[in-house]
Amino acid sequence: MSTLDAAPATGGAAIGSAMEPVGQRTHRVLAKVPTAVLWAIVVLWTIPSFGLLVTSLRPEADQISGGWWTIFSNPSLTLENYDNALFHPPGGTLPFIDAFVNSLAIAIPGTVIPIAIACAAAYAFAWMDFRGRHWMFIGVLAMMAVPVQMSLVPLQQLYSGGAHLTVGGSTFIVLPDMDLSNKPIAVWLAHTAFGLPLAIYLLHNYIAGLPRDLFEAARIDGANHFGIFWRIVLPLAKPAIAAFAIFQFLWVWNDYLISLIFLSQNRDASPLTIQLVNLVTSRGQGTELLPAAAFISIVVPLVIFFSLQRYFVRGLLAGSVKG
Amino acid sequence: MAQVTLENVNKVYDNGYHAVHDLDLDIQDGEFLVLVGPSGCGKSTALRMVAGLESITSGKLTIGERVVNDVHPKDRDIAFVFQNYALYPHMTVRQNIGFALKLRKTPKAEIEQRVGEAAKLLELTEFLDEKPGQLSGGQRQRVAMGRAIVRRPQVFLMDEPLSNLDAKLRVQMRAEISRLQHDLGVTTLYVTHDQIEAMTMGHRVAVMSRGYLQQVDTPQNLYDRPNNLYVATFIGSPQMNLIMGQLHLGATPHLVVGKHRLDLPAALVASRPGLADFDDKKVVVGIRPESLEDAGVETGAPEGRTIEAVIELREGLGSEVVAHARFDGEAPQVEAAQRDPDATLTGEQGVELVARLDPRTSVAIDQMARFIVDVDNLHLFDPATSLAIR
Repeated sequence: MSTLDAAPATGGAAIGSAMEPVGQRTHRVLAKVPTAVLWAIVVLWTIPSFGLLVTSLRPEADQISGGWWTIFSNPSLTLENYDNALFHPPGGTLPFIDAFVNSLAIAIPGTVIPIAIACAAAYAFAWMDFRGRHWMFIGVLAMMAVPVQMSLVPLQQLYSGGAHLTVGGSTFIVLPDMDLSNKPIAVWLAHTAFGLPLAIYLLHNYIAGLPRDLFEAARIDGANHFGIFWRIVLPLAKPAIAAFAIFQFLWVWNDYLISLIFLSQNRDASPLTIQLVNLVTSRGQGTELLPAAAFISIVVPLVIFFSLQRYFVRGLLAGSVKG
Repeated sequence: MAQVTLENVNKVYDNGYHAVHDLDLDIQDGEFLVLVGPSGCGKSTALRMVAGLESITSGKLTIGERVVNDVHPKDRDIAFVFQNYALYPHMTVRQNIGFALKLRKTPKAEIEQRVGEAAKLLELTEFLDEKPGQLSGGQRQRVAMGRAIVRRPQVFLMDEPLSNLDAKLRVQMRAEISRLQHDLGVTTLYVTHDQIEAMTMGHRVAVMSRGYLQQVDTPQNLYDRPNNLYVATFIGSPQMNLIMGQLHLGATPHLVVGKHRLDLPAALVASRPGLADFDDKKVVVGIRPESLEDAGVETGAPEGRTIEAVIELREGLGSEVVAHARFDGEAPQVEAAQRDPDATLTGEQGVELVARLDPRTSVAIDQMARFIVDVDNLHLFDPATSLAIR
């Protein structure tokens, strides 16, 4: 109370500047920063990645003898590290070319499945009339608040033992033991479950913003709900779908935790992130391959980011700005 | 082709808003009927009920011989043209027009042929492979029409299809839609808020206000014989002048408006037996702007047919002069009466008269002018009910 009362006492001028919205003030201050400063920040932030790239291209002896900057006095570059990491990794590690394929085999279904479900759900929440629609939608959104870590143990139990319910001495099987643990489908399902709430939310906002007339015109033209969904909504929601697909794909591609828990016992199916860690822990051998391996694992995110930049912005704006 | 009949149709929304009251409307086979009224009068709701986009709360809707209250829109054999066209933005013009046929599993060759015919009729052939976003407003409007006619429906339903076009294009499309409807002979229900569209396009016009149907008639009859004050002031531009007057029958039937006396022709009195109930009572006198003429232009202005008013504004249009004048009389409070339909009209001193005068007129601003009133074409209304006295 006392702090609130103090504000008017500071006088007219102080109120004037305090009234300026924070966003505007931040903009005014930031607009004065010279471009050179921004470039300096960009360079500073890029140096570690650049150093990693340089190191990945140097022979093992040079990597050990000095930092990446010694490249200027001792310029020798080789692709040997990439060759070894991809095809001949030391003792028992999966070749990175295989891990790369495994990562794709996890990330692509881990993106497609939630989007397919989320599109249908978003359409239903936005344009189909059914009882309890509002509360179901709120329920789905509330799932966003559930942390991944909290559900790992129950999920693992569900995968490896199914679900049973014991009532008064007799046990019912709610879900049979499907032995999903350490199979790629375990990871797909986990990513689907954790991706769905946000996917439904983003796509719902976009699809709900499509003009009502289109739906009415399609109904008169003879389309049923599936026809409207397939022929009108899906083509029109492409930008939103693309935006979410990028986020989901990168999240799944870069994921370590879920793969570690549900898939790490299965060496032949494990993705890049798991193999990257295994490379370090194998008796000091192959550390010279780490920079190259790290670069292999970020190739896909980099390609996606640079080729689909415009969708990032649209995705962030989804729902707030129409069209 | 089919006849469309609405019997006692009501629409009450979930929130209790009663949008359409007991609507009775009979659209003949092949007729072009225009529903007109201000926004919020229920005309679009009525149209959407015919289309099946809104449920019917009570009453009966028949298309052809079939009661269609609970029939799905796609099975009503209707086509709908939306105000903002509702074209599918990701489809080409060809796909947009052919969409309904494709959903009906029409053979490809037939779709191609019928889309081609529709496009030719609407001069869209060269745009068939473009997307709606690349077209102008008028072209989009035509694509929307194409989408409707390609189905060969029994009924066209149009919801203010011209309101998003500029004035010039609107006039052109007005004629085009009328011609198309005439050539195809499809029963059409057309909704607009623009009385010019209603008057020029409709075979008959239905005027709605506040969810109630006010009058249905041919455009000329609506203009000449409005049922009530609402229709009288809604149809016609500039709108009808209204003055409170005192009716006196007897040997020389006449009205007293302000300080002036207007003799009523015997034929007019004879044709309206209802006037007998208003002897020595107040009535609302309606005078169309063209029923006022400058006494200086016509020769031999007879006594008992003129009123005087001070000119406030003179607008020369070449073919005519529109004069706004202040008349010293009582103005009925029509708007107040429209807010509360049961209210009796009360007067307020000072009436603004609008007159369409011969261009030779010499009336000038701030001068007193004498107008001859065309007493044969006076309209008389009951101030208590707003209904025309017949």
